[in-house]
Amino acid sequence: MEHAREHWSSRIGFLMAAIGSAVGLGLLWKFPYTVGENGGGLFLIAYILAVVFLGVPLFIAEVLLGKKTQKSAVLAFSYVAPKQGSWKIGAYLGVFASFLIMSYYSVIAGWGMNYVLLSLSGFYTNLEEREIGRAFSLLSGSMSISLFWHFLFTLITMAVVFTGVRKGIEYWSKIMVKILFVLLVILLGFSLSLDGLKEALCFIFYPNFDTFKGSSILEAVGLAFFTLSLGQGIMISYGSYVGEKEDVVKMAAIVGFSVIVVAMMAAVMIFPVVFTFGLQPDSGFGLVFQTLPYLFAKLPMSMLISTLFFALFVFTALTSAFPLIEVVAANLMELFHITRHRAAFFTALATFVVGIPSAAASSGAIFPEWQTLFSSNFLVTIDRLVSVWMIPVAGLVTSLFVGWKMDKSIKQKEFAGYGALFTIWNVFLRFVIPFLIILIIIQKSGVLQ
Amino acid sequence: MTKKAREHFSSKIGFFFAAIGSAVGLGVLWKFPYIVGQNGGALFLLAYVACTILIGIPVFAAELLLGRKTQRSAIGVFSLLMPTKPFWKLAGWLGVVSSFLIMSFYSVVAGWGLSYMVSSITGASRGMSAEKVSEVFHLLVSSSDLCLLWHFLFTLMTMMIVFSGVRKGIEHWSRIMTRSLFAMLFALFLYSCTLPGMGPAIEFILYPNFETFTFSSVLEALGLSFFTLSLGQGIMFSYGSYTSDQEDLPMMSIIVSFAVIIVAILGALTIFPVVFTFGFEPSAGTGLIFQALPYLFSKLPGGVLISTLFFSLFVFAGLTSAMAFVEVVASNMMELMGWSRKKAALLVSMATFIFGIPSALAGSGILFSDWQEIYRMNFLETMDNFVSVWLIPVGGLITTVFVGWIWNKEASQEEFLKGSSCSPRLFSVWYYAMRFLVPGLIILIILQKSGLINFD
Repeated sequence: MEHAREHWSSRIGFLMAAIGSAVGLGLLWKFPYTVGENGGGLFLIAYILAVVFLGVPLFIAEVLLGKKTQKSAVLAFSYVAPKQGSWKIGAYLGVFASFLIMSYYSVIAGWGMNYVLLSLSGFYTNLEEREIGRAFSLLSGSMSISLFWHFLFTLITMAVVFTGVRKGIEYWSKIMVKILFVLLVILLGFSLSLDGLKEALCFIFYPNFDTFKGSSILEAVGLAFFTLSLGQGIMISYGSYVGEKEDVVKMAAIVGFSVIVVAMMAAVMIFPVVFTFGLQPDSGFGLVFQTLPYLFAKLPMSMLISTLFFALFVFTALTSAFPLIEVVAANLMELFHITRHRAAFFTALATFVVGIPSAAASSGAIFPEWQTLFSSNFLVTIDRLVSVWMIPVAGLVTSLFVGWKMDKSIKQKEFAGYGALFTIWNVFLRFVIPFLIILIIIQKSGVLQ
Repeated sequence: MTKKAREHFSSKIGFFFAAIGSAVGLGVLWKFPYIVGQNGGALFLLAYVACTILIGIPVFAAELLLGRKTQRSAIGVFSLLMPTKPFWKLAGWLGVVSSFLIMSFYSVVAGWGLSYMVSSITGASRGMSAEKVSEVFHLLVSSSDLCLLWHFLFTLMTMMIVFSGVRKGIEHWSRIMTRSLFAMLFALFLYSCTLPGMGPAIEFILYPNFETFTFSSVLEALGLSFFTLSLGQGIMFSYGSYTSDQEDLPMMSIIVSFAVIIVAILGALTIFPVVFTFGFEPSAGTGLIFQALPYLFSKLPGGVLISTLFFSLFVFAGLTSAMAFVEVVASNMMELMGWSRKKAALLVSMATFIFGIPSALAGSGILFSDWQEIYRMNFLETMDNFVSVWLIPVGGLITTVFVGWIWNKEASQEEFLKGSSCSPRLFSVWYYAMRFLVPGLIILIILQKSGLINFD
C-alpha cells in the first residue's frame, strides 16, 4: 500500500462506528435475560464495574494497538513483535472469530428482516395465536427461505464494506446508529406505559442475593467483553483508522458509557412486554421470534410496534455486521495486497458459504446428524465455540501482548494528561484481565466449577 | 459522470408516447376494471378522475420538473438539490427499489402473457372447455421451467430495448408499441360494442352504486391513480431528465393523465362485455385474464384473432412499462457508479431476472414452499403488496413534502413556468396542492392500506 491509509473523517464518525459495532444482537436478547437470572441489581453493578475496569482498558489496548501500528490485527502483532511470531495467534483467532460470527449472525439477522416484511404484509390482521409460533418454525425449518434472507443480509453488508471506511462504514453507521437510538427511545416510551413495567423493573434492578453467585461475576465480565466487541480484532482495525491526534482514552470511556446506557434501555424496553402478559422471561431466538411477536399481536397498533422492533433488530445487526466483514477484509487486504473491492467480495462470499449449514440448522437439510453428535445444532455449536473459546483466548493474548510486549513510552504518550491512570491500566492488562479471562475460560468450558 | 450532453427525447411526441406507455401497464388491464365495478361504478370512476386531476397530475408534474431541473435520475435529483441532507435521497432510493422489485415479478406475469400470445396464434386454445382452460393455466403456473423460460424471454426483450438507449431504444419502441396498443385496444373495443354483454358492462362500470361506495373507495381510487400514472417509482424523474427546457411539462402532465384515464376506461369497456356476454362473474387478476378470457375468446367468432390481439396488447402494455422500470434502475446506477448504459442495462436485467426467480417459481412451490403458509400469500403477491402498500406511497409522500416544503418556491416556480404556456395562477394551485392536499391524502392511504386505521 503506497497511498495513505483511509481514516475516519471525524471523531464522531469513529464513535458512531464503534458504538454501532458494540451494540449488537446479543444486547437485545442475551443481556436482559442474563441480568434477570444472575441477581438483578447486583449483577448490573458487577457488569458496570466489569465494563469500566476491564472492558474499557482492553478496548483502549486494542484501539491503541491499531492506532500506533496503523495496521489491522495480524500485521499489527508482527509489527510490534516481528521476531515472536507465536503472538500472532491472538490476531488470527480474533479475525477468525469475526468470520465465524458473521456466518451465522447474518442468518439470524436475516430472520429479523423476514419479520420486518412479515409485519408490513398484514401478518397481525385476523391472526390466530398458534399461527405466530408456527411462522417461526416454518421459517427456520425452511432452508431455502432462510438462505434467501441470509443472502440478502450478507449482500447489504458487503455493499457497505465495499464502499470503504468513510463512505461506507462511517457514513452508514452514523445514520443507522441515530435511527437505532430513535427507535429504541420510541419503543422504550411505549414500554413505560405498560402494566408490566413495575414487575419488570423489579426483575431487572432488585438486588437478589440468592441468585448472585461467584460465577455471576465471571458472567458479568464475559458479557462486558462481548458487548464491547473485544477479542475479535475489530477495535484493532477501527483503531488503525484513527488519526494521531485523537484521545483514545476519552473515546473508550464514551463508548463504554454508551453501551451501558443502551443495554439498560434494551432491558427496560423488552421485559415490561413480557411481564404484562405474565410470561416467563426467556432468552435467545424463542424470546425474539416467538414470544415477542405473540405479545405484539395483543397490543394496540401491533403492526407498528412489531415493524419498529424488528427494524431496530436489523439495524443493530447491520452496524455490528459491518465490522465483522471489515476486519476479515482489512486483514486480507494487508496480507495479500488485494484491493478493498476484491477483499470485501471474497470475504462476504466465504461467510455466506460457511453460513449455509447454519441457515439449514433447524431443517436438518445439511448435516442431519449434527444435533445428535454435538447435542446442539450447527449454529449454536459455532456460537458456543466462538464465545467460549476463541474470543476469550484472543482477548487474553491481546491483553498480555499490549501489556508486556508493546513499548512503554509509546503507550504512555496516549495517557498524557491522565496522570497515574497509565500505571493502573498497564497493571490491569498485565495481570488482572488475563487472570479473570483464564477463570472465565475454565468456568465456561466446564473444566472447573 | 460523462461530460457529453445527456441524451434527450428527440421530440415532444416521443416523450408523450414513452410516458403513456410507461403509465399504461398491466394494472390498467386487470386491476382497474374490477376495482371500478367493486367500488361503486360511476361514483368510483368520478373519484378516480378527481384524484388523478387533484393528486396524480400535480405529482406527475413535480417528478418531471425535478428531473428536468437537475438533469439527473431520481437519486441524483435529491443529492444535487440537497447535498447536505441525505435523508431526501430516500425518496429516490425507494423509487428505484420499487421499480426493481416490480420488474422482478412483472416480467413473470408478462411472460405468461407472452405464452398465451404464442398459444393464441397457434390456435391451441380453440374449442377448449372452461375446465380445460383453467387446467392449462395451472399447468403453466406450476411448471417451473416454462415460467422461467418466459420470464427470461421477457426480461431479455426489455433489456435489449434499454440497451439501445433513450432515443433508439425506449422512444423508438414506445412509439411503435404504444401506437399499436392504441390501435389494438380500439379494434377490440369496437368488437366488444357488437357483443350483447355491452349493456350490462356499461351498467356495471358506469352505474353509480351508492351502496358499495365508501370512504375507503376514495382512497382506493387515489392509490389506483398513483399506480396507473406510475408515480413514486422514480420513472418520471428519469423521463423528465430526458426533456429540454422548451418542453411544456405541466401541459404534458395533463395530456398524459387524460390519455391514461381514457385508456383505462376503454380497457374496462373492452374486457367486461366479453365477461358479461357469457354471464360470468367479474373477477380480477390472473383469474380474469388467463382463465376467464381465453375461454370466452374461444367461443367468440374470430376467437383466434381476438385472442391474439388481446394478448399482444397485454404484452405490449407490459413491455412499455417494463422498459421504464429497467431504465430507472439502470440510469440511477449509471449516475451512481459511473457505469456505461450497456453495462447497467445488462447487470440490472440480470439482477431483476434472478430476483424474479422466486416469483416465477411461486406457483410450483419448488422454491420457498413454506412462503405461502408464513405470509398467507405467495412470493409474487408479497412483493406486489409490499411495493404498492408501502414503497410507492412513502416514496411519493417524501417527494411531495420535498417539493411543497423544502424546495425553494422561486426555483419551483421558475421551473414550472419554463417553456410553459400555463398561467402563474396554475402554479399557485399546484404549489398548494403539493403542500397540503397531496401529502395529507397520501398519509391517509398509507394508514388505511396498512390496517393501522380502518375508516369503514
